[in-house]
Amino acid sequence: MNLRVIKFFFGEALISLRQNMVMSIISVMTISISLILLATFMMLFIDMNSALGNVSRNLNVVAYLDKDITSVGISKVEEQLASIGGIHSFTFVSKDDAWQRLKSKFRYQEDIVTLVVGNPLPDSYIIRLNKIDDIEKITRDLGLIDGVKDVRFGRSMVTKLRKFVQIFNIVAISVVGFLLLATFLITINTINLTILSKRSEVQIMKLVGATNSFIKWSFLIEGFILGIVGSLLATIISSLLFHFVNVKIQDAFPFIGVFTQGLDLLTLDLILLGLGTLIGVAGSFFSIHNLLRGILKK
Amino acid sequence: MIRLRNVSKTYNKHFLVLNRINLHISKDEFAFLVGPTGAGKTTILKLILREDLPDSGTIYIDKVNTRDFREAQIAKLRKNIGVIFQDFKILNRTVYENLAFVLKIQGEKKQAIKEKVDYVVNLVGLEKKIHCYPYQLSGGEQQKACLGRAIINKPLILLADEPTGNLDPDSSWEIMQILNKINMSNTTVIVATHDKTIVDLMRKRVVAIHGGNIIRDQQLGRYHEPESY
Repeated sequence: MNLRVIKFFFGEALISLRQNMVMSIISVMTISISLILLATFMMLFIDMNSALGNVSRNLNVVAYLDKDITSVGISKVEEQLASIGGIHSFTFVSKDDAWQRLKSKFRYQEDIVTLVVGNPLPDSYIIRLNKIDDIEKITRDLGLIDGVKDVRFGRSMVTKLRKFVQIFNIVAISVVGFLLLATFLITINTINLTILSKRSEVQIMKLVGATNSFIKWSFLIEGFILGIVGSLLATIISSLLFHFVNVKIQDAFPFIGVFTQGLDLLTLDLILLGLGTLIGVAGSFFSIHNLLRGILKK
Repeated sequence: MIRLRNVSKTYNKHFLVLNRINLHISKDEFAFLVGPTGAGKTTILKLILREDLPDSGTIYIDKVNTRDFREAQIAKLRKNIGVIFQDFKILNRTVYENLAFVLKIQGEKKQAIKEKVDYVVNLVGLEKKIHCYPYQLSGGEQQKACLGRAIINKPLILLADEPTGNLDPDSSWEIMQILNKINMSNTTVIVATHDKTIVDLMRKRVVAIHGGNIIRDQQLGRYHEPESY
């Protein structure tokens, strides 16, 4: 296909878009609105997932050391902690620090603290994990370290959180999947209507000797233009929307990590552009293929 | 040039439109297909244009069986056949763009397109309406634009389906004169019509069809409707 032919196809597509301005605008709006909806849900799910990740990362595992452990023993425990995979970070809490913290916690019930003779608390490590999924394996490994007496974490909380994340992921993937399918079907239907409105034009093209592939190319380029314009519009609107929501939510709830943390906005823009273009071209392809095969006689 | 041999065509399985038709139209000939509505005139044109296939029998265009044509050959055949219709069937573009479209899909260069379009609009008498859209043209002018599009490619065959059906007598006669001129320049012209006046004035070959059969085939013929009509 040489440059003149490509230029001709683009010219034909632009003429057709201009002549069917209303249907073209409807197609572009359908693609845009569907993609904005999809992007909103994607951002919501990704951010929720990211927030759940943060919660699970903040769940600490505490490894209590033997009461009579020496400083050499503590160093050895630390070396072994560093060699276990899946640990995000760990902090040593000496028995004296732990006792001070406890006392400060019960500063209004001093008599409780005074009842205790000496410091009954052991040295410990507070350990943060990369993923909540690894918690059982890591606590098992921690228990095997020489010098570690006990390992504790909020087991029931972890179980509930994990279950919630699993269900949330299934729901999120299903909703995004259905939205994607709905976007695809609605767009194909709209483009189908646009192309059906040009049925007589297609008939004339065939009568004056245009081949099926020639007609298909004209419409594919038209679909490409519809898709790219629709997705560009969706990209601009969703970027503005997310920026606005981001600023507003961060102002109102500064402790929440909101949009754009889970996914780079540029990546989302590229996904939208790719999806919009694909939907436009695929919609045109199915519609014109159907029109040429089913409606027109060869 | 065109040969129909024992051609039959049925619509909706029961409605027989053509019944074992045999017809030969030579190169450069001008022929009228006449008969009442539903006689089978348009079906013959559709079969020649390979818009449809016969149920039985064969159609040869330049000794090639149209049944053997593949998609690319059909497109090639249609580039050699100009068609005009009663309802014009022109694109919602200017006269120039309508005529240029046929040449563009064949990959013609801009300059060549301009020269050919200018020549044809002069031939059909639309030089002053070249940049007009269909809604700015009268019925006769739209038919001339359609005619211009049909001949721009210098087709070997020109098929006209009721070309004067929607036109006043003056415009009808003008269209027929242009068709005659085209025929003089070595194009086979086949006109399906039930316009008695035009047929009788032109004095060309007349093929009369009735009930799916050819009932009369006459050189320098007249319309002559049988009493059974």
